[in-house]
Amino acid sequence: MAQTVKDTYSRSSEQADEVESLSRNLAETYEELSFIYKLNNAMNVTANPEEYFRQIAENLGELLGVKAVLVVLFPETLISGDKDNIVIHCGQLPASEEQIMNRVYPDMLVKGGCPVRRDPSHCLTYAAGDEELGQMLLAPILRGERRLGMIMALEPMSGRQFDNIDATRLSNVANIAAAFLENFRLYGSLRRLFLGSMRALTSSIDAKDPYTCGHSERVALLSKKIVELMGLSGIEAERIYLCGLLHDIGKIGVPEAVLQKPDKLTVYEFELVKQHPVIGAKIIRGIQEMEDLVPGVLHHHERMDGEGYPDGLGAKEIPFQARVLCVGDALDAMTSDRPYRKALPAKLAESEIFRAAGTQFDPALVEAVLKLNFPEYIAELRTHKGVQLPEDSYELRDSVSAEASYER
Amino acid sequence: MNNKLVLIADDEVHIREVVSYKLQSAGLEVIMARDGQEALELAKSEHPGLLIVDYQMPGLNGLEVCLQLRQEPQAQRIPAIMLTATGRGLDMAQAELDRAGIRVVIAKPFSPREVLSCAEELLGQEDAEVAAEKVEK
Repeated sequence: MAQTVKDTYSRSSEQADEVESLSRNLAETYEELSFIYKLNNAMNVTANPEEYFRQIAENLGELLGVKAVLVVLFPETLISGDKDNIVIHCGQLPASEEQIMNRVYPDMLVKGGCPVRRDPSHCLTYAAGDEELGQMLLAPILRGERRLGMIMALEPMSGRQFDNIDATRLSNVANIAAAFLENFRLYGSLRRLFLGSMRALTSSIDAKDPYTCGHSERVALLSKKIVELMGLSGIEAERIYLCGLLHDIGKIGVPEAVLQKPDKLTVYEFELVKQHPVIGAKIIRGIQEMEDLVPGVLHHHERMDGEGYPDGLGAKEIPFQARVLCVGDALDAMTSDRPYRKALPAKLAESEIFRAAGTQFDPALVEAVLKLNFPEYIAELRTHKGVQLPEDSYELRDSVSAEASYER
Repeated sequence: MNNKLVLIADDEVHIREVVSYKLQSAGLEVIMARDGQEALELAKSEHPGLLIVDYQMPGLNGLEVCLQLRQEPQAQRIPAIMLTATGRGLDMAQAELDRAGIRVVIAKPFSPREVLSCAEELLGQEDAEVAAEKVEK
């Protein structure tokens, strides 16, 4: 009887241990799964890569129960032409990043060379006692044969040994990171190709009209700057930039003789010029990725007082993009030479814009323009790739007489 | 109210075990219920400091458990974390959640670490509120 009770007791205590061990494993698996979901969700190509890797480092540290996590992205992984490693770490590194790199870098380059163990997951495990470095687990971030970087887990808590489960987890994360980097690279190259094509297209419009040379690019930059001064950024600012680049694309449908005419336009000629926003909107309307730019292109000549074209929209009806382009367009037009007048000095252009707040321009945007640092903007223009800067214009001249005329 | 005691109510054994393992390893005490009715009874008799309750359970669902507890004078202050597999709860208005005392809604699959840190935070807040009330008295 006593024996039976004893047996039952020991069995139930064994079962309790088993349940606890199952629960622990299950909790770890849940943790891992939820981390991987999180990484996949954060894998947005427009995400800031350094922020993404910081998140990896922090979560990985907790998941693996280690004192530190070190992520190193090799040169040219994020930015082409970059010569330095990008280093992100969390926790207390046992030695300097340079010491760690010196220790592990040769192993990463040698195929099959294996300090302790090289498992099928490509992870390298380092035992403690290597110089002052403790135990380390390293997973390379690979694209095919190319090494983009590496993720390292350093010094497991409570002195346990790294095992295969740690290695699998780490290499799993490294694979997700590699996919993220690949997407980031492809997105960047697609974006450069797209913007390059758009620039080529708009330059060809600008080329028809030597007086507005580089105008589209400058309006794009100015408009972007203006919305940034209003606190917008990222995708929104980029869309405004693109809209600025394309705003005059409809001029392709306006006779060159009219665009290049040095004298004042006749009423009929001006009617032709006034068609360019409508033509431009028609050109881009068919492209799905540019649908959202149509309102900006179509209405960039509308005025707050309803006297603009093509639709004579009132203040509240003019789309935001269009209001921004309108200010950017006018500012650039005033500060560059035109067939019928010389460029205005920046200060004078500013006061013209200020004077037209509420009638021609959105007062909120005018406020942003007044915050614009002109010398800084001009310096930025000079360094910006693809901007043609007309000789002499954009300098802060002291006095130029100017009269308002049709701004095309 | 026992601010070291957490009531976990879920009809799925693996969720109960994982959450209770995580909480116990952080030094909290745990009682478990397999359905809404049992949760209601345990909450009334054991006075836990926190309820972690699944939305989808046989009989009473998690939301109903919380709403009914609001009617009980001795249990109406217990804060709750609701787990949800269907997304129900995530889409609810804050006012509706407040009415049930649900402070946090966590979607399954969840990170046990996150559940623990929410639990610790809510228990800590409760401690602070009790302390503040004592000072007032």
